[in-house]
Amino acid sequence: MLTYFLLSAAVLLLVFRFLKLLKWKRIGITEKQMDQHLHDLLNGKKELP
Amino acid sequence: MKKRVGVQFRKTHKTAHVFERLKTCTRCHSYHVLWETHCSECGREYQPIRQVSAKVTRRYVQTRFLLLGLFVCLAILCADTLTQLVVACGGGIVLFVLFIMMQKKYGAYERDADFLRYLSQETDPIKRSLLLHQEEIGADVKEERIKDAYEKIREVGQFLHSDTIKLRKIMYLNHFVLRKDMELELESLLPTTYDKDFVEYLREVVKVQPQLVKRSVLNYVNRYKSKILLHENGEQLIGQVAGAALRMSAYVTEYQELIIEYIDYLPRERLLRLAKMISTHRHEGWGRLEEAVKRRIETHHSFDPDFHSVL
Repeated sequence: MLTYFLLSAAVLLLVFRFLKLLKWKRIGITEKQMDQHLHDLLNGKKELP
Repeated sequence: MKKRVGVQFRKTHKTAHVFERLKTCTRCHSYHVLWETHCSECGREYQPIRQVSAKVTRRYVQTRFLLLGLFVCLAILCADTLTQLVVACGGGIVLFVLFIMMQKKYGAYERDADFLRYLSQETDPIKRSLLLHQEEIGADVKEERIKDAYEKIREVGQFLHSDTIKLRKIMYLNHFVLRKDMELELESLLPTTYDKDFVEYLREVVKVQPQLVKRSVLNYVNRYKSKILLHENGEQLIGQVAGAALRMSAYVTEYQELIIEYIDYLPRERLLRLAKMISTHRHEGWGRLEEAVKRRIETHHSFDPDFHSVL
């Protein structure tokens, strides 16, 4: 029984990771946005949400 | 008028994005934006920040992989029957394969997101390092190494866009003889308010690299026309800037009034170009401009054969 429980935990970990990666893919940060983010941080402007 | 000196600036390292210019020493936890390749404190080679951030992400992914491995191994060890053992082994293999596939397909997105977080976390050390660079620049100026100071502030200016940085750059640039082959900047030096040093710099730049005159520069000149006129030969300067606007017909349409107002100060070659542009763009609402050009040609260039064939 413990085997199935541990396997489910592993599956859950994978699902969480997949959802997290999918979220980053949806946001799709570009290099231009990274540059802008750095400029905003160094020049005291509002940060990206 | 102060004497200008001839210099050869160090070539700037071209990058597609500004963050690519930022390097870090992982031992001293300091940042560097100049040309040195090794840390002056510990001698370790500077590393691009993207690479350092990617290492942090890789470590995080590795811990997740290890956690997954731990669960699968424990599941195998806890198996009581052969079926459980087969399920644990088979399931483990499937989970590992899925993890690797997911990482290959979407890992890059996570690296990008982590890089943003890394930048936010490291803002203070980056700012501190830029401040140190500015102190170095101050020391260079004190010892009259203006060329070094300019080259350094040019790099720092890629990150900081304050008027202070711009005005310091202009001040240093006004020490040098400007040439066509130099990597000069104009738009990026535009201060938010009127500055006489910038106007003097503009005067020199427009002589050697008129192609640097863009919309924002034309707007600046238009906005501070009255103050520029107080400069020595201010009319000629505005005339030269208006002449530089003749590179594009869109600028001619947009800054028609400025060109008409300073048509008397357009150099001959620029007036000829304007006349040729008008003759090829007759239907662009340049009626008033055409009249002004004709008047100028009649009064000052009526005997010039080059102007006979146009208009």
